[in-house]
Amino acid sequence: MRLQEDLADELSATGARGVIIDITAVEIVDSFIGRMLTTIGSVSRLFDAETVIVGMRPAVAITLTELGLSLNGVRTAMNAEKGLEILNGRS
Amino acid sequence: MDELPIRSGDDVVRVRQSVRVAAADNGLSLVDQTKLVTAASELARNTLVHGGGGVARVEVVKSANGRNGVKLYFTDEGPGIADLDLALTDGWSTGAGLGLGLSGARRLVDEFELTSLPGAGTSVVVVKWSR
Repeated sequence: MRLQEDLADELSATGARGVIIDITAVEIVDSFIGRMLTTIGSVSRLFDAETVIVGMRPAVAITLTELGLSLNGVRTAMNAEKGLEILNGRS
Repeated sequence: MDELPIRSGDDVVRVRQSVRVAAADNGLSLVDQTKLVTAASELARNTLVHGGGGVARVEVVKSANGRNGVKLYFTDEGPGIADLDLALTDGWSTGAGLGLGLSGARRLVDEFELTSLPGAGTSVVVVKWSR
């Protein structure tokens, strides 16, 4: 996955402590996309960065729950601002 | 009725788009559209990954009491599924997946029918009704 490689390069280069993924524009999250998101969380953790997914649509949240998918290893927040609050609250 | 090939990841995207249009045009709520499109995505990817490719059909149906629905068919001529009950168990997977594809898709639709014979391929038919 291009995104995962770019992210790993960027985390390595910058030493960033947090990753925010905005999925406002994402109309569905199936198990394929869900796995991609949790993999990003795992990769980020190897660089000591926490991942927050923001902007999930209500219909997507309901569907994810029924599908049985839990996004292990990533946090979620309402929007980018709340996501930043979570990351900034980290010591 | 639309018949769509499933031979690549791009085809999975086209199936999703086609299902979305059919669901929206037939009065499914946004949540139900999202559930059906997500189920279609899981099933189309199964057809591609486990069935070695196949075909999806999108059909508009009407129930006896006049409700609109969208019916989807996914068929492949792949290796088939030896143990259907096991394949429908949460967390069971032959591949690198999460094992939620079939069981999860079943929860997202109103009707779900899985037919498969080892060596003879797999067929999944699902329906989602408008409320």
